Amino acid sequence: MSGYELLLSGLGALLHDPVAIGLLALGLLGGSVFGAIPGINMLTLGAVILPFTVRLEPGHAIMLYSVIYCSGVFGGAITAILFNIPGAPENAATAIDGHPMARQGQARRAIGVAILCSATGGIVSTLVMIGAAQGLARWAISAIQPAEIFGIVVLGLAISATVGAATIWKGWLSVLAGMLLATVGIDPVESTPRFTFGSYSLYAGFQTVPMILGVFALSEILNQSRRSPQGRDAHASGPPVGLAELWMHRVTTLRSIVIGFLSGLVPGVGATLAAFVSYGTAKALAGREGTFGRGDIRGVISAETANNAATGAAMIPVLALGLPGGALTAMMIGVYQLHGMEPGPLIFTNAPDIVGLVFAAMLLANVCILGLGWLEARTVPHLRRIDIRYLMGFLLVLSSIGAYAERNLMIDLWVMFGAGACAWVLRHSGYSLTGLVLGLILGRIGETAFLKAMIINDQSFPNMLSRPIMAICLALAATITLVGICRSLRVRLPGRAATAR
Amino acid sequence: MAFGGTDRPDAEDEPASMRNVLAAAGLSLLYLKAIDWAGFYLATPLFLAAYLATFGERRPLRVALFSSLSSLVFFFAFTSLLFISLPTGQPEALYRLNIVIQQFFLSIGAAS
Repeated sequence: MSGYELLLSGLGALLHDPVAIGLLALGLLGGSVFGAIPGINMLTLGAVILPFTVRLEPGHAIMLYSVIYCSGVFGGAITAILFNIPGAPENAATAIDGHPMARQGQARRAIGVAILCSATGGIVSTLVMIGAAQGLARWAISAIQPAEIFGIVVLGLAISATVGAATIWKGWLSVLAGMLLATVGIDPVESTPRFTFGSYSLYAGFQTVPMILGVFALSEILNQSRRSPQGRDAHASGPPVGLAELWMHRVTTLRSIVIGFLSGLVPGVGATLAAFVSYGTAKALAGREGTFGRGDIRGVISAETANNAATGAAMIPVLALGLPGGALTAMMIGVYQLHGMEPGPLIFTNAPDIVGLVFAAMLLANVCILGLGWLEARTVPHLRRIDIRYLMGFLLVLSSIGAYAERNLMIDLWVMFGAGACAWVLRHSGYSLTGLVLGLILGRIGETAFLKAMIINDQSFPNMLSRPIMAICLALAATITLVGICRSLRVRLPGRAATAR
Repeated sequence: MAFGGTDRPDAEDEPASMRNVLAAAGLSLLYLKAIDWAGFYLATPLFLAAYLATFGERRPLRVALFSSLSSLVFFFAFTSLLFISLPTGQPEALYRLNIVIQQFFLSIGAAS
């Protein structure tokens, strides 16, 4: 079956399945509400519900995460425009021009454009993804062996280390810390216990679910407790918007789709960076004629198109290779693991119904953003009045149940607390939590792949390097790291000169 | 500029806000300890009430209403509907109390 046939059968299955429709609606609502409330975002939601997806069918669970991804990336745009508070980091670039537009009485225009652009970017990207994912998977089955997986993992880690944190050093430290945590427990090939300190509880290593709950839910709860709740009143005003506006800026829209899609494809980049890269390109190309930073509509278009265009592309490595590129896609791998499934290209032959369901759900979710945006523009001013204290206590209880439910061991609760407390300290000293979690999850995948590849290639690393894809990935990873290091050194030198003066 | 992840360098570094974080961390730790010792069914309403009181909610009726209602929601969702086994506490008396609550919610789940 081709990708589009899978989409059609998935659409048929989804629309005949009341549970799937219900989950689609819940995912849309949950993603956009968590995206819109400043402080918590779709990662908090994804972490909190992760342990309970074990009760769902695997197809439903993966579908739910893809829907949350689409709606969560969009959800914060409206708070970014109205209050200059991006509900989620993905929408930070939207605020740069969106909020000035709101202050000039063009809030409704900015919101309308954001909604249209998110839907357009998401739909196009999903359609391209559907066409490309299966072909890539078919190619991957023969071309991608453990050595190549190892190469791609190293490349993904190098990229997320370079872009995720305040400096490249902190980025690498975040990733390496995650990889170090991944080594705890029995090693995947020789079954030697490592870093267990004689404790049986550590033989299975740090479980993915409590770690994700700690890093994304508990650290967020700790973070929110430092602010007192505040409410500001603002509402959408100004003239509404039509599709004509998008057509007028079709070049910007198209370029943003391409940039967003390509950024989403690369592991470690994701929707947040896609929005910034696209915004930066639009600004640079406009030169001096634009009013970027003071309310240029193209700023909103470039950022909101690109972040949703990244979501479809980010699903390609997850489905075709079983490799996550960001925090939310890493949780999808967690869903696979909870259901005892092997993520990777074989999913197209073993479980085409799951793939079809994901395709259909992502397409529908992006179409639904149009209606959701309309709804959200009316309700967001009220969402701001939610007293965050009530939500936080509730979320902590939910996280605790989730951490305990998988294995019924208290150790998982302590792991969650330790991870949460450390993550809070790390995020406030410029380290990257996404880098940490990718290090943990990709570290495990990468280690297994490396050990398998060594066995296949007669325990010889040079033999492995003769595989072109792997060699290219490692070379790219080295280049990216070196360029990042050089840039950080060059930035520091003029900085020092300036302070000396 | 920190891209990606959940890094948001917006919160101000006041001593008061630092105290809040420590209070939230301490309460969470106490709660996890209490789940183990006193059992989930007793620790949860107490924790929710303590959390609200610590973070400045001074209306006792609201605190009582919120903590008991959301505890009921948790008990119903996870014991009656999902049959998730939760810690029931160490000392004999507290264990008995937890079991009574657990059995009550299990029987609701079986009836519906």
